[in-house]
Amino acid sequence: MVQETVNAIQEADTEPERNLDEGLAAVVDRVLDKGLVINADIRVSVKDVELLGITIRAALASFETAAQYGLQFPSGTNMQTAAWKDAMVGKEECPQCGKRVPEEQLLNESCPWCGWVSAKAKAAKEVPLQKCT
Amino acid sequence: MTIKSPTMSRSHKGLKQVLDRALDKGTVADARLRVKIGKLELVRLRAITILSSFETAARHSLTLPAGINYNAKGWKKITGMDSCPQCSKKVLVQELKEGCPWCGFRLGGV
Repeated sequence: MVQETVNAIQEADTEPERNLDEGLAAVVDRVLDKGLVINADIRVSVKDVELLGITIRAALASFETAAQYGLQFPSGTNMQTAAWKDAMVGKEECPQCGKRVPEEQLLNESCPWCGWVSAKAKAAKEVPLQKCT
Repeated sequence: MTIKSPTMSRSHKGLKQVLDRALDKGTVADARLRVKIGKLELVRLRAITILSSFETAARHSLTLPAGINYNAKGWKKITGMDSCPQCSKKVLVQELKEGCPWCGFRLGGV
């Protein structure tokens, strides 16, 4: 019992500090990837007289997500560059290596980075084999 | 088959999950603040704030900033999608019933 507790404490202690940074990075990654909508109505009144009213309609996203959802970019942004075209391709995270790969390729073929194969691609490969035998 | 990222620690995963939940469900904060000195009310403040992911915002048709192109790819992926219980990838519900194309998960374990 005591040994278990000691082990648990040691485990907690030895968890590298870097994990905190990684956690934060993962959170930022996630937020920018999913996109964040912030809508707020704020009213400030003094003695029943409305003094200040603020309406916020904000969207926060990474370049890729913003491009995917057609968010407006500041004037003067050249959307014809290769990077934007790349961002417009729907990408998905490989479940094995975490690299972002075009969804079609990842789902229908395999991950070009680690070779992970989706269930759909596996099934597609298996069917012709069964026919042969 | 469980898919685990080797670099992911427990706390790191927890934080990510909390955030996922909060954004996917949508979070609303309704705050009222009154500042009084004696019986004299000085300031009254009311703030209603909504935080959500793009998907949730679209599903609940929240007002988004002007100038968004709603014909973009991303918006089309929202209706009829659900996340796979095993790999949590977003898949069309119809497809998911036949087995997740990503991890092969089948409803009811069939």
